[in-house]
Amino acid sequence: MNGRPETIQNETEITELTIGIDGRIYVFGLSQQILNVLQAIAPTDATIKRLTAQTKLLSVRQNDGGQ
Amino acid sequence: MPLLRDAQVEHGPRPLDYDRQKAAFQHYQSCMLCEHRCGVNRAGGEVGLCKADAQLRMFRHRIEYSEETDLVPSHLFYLSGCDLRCVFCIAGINAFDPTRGEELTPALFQQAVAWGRAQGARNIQWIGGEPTIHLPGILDLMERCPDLPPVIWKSDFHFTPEALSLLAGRVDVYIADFKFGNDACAARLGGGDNYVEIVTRNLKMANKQGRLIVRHLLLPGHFECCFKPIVRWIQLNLPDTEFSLREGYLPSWRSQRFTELRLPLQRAEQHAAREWLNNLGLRVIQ
Repeated sequence: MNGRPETIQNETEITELTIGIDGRIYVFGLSQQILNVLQAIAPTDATIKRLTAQTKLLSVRQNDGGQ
Repeated sequence: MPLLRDAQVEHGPRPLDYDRQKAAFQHYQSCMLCEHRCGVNRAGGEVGLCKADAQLRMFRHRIEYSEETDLVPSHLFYLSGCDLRCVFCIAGINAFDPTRGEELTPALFQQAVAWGRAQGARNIQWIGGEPTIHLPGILDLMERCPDLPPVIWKSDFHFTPEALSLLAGRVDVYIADFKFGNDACAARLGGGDNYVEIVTRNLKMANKQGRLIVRHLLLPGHFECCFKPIVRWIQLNLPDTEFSLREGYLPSWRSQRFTELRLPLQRAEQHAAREWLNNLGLRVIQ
């Protein structure tokens, strides 16, 4: 971030992506939207699969009106 | 091991605990919240090593999806000010300057909590900087919040036993950033003395007080001196504790001043650490 934050910033929709020279992707501040994008481009990545599964599980629970 | 309570399970409203509040706010008169033990009167304008006064300021909040799996989505509240000075801190000046951000009032906090819940957050997470230096203010905010979700306390664990005791029953999950495996690296890169003794003491105490997750950010060139001693200590002392290895180191803040921290973590070190963890049989979570 640049400048002095005089007010509280809601950064829920801000994600910082860094792609290393060896292809590794570093993500700071992972939003739901970016998680969806990563899931689309790297569906076999273990971390992305795990987080996506968790998010879907919670979504199902909410839709069911369950826990 | 107790799991995080579901966000639909309400905590409150809790009865106000005046004795605890009084004990907490006394630290603003003579602060002993972290192990620097400055003893300064923060309410009276004195500042210690963290330079924080008695006002709690937040510079950022967000719903985060990259925490440990069963904690997401987590609503993170970033408070400015810290008792350590880690040269690789990704929050940088926002973490180290406690005048940054806006005062977090009870009304603002309750408004933010309600917003986070509507966004699907399962918990709130206090993060910094270091939340412990603002413990009295945070306790007050939580006591006044009628609809408080489960609480996560992400900390450098450089706090005093007095501070930790004030959190008993108010925190569901402690996330400890166990950064350094020896005092020399801690003094050089984090600015604290007797680091290992302090953190390991607090880990043992916190483990009795709630769910504990120990995180370690794998630093380039610190495999032998930091990673190995940390995981060995956990294996010997807290073998059932959940351990989370963070492998996403990127040079930040003042890392460029330290030769070994100038580049991202090499894959070889990452793989070696994973292999070590597998062989030790720690309870690794992701």
